[in-house]
Amino acid sequence: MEILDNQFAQDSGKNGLQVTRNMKINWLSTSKWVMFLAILGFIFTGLMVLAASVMMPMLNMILTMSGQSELARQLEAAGGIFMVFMLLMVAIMFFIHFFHLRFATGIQRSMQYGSQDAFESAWRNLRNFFRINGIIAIAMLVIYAVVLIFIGSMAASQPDF
Amino acid sequence: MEDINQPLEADTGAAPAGQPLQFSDAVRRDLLESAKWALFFAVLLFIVLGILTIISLMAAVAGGVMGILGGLFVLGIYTLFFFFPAWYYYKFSTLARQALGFEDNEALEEAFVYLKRFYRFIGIFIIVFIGLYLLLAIAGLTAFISNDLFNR
Repeated sequence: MEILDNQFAQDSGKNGLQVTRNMKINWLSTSKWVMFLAILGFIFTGLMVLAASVMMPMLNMILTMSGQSELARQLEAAGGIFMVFMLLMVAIMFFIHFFHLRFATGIQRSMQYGSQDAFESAWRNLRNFFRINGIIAIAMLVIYAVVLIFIGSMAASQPDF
Repeated sequence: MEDINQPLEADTGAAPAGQPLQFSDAVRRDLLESAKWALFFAVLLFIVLGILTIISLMAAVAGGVMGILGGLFVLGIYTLFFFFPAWYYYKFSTLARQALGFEDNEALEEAFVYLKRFYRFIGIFIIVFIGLYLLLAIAGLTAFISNDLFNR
């Protein structure tokens, strides 16, 4: 009975969770898919940088061809905002896929060399991935809500809308 | 006996001699936070699916026989796109939190199965999407070339 109690105490203690063979098999498979997604993501980020670097000279050309009108000045300001927005999006995309890549490599390294550091780093990177995505999702929801309220108030203030 | 077991264990990817991998406090914290975010995304995806269902049902009702068929088809595609990722995230989250809360190793194993399924679904989805994209590009190109657009 004492042995049973000890067993129970050990199982329900802090170290009740063990890394099993099934977990390792699943992690290896997960890390391969995550690696695939990360590489694909990096390719798309690169394509986005390429698209931005093509569009900026085009925008400049349109501006020089249109002369010095009021519209051209407005477009120039919009171009600056567009550039900042693009850079921000590229940076966010890069970090999302970077965290995925670090998760995949960390899991693979911890499986191969039994490295606890790599194991902890992998889960920290998965958490970072969730965190950055979650913050973006919340920011988008807030922006949607603000835009909806703004449109609603505009519509309400105009009786013939 | 030890000698016989050694290569077998090495083959399954078990850690070599020394400390095996541990679910340390840091790993537990990170897993718990990941699980909570996963639940957030699951709920978000279910809400999006609900909104899309309402919209496509409204379109189906408004559009007659073709509208009903089209609406149901679109609804099926939306369900395929949104339901499975949301469900996998939801299961991963609930199982991981149960495992961390009650030291339930089986639940943790199951949670990682759902995490794997989530990534596998997204991966296959993206492969299919890229394949369709390439197919359409090739089809469009061949149509463009065989139509002799330049000789008209």
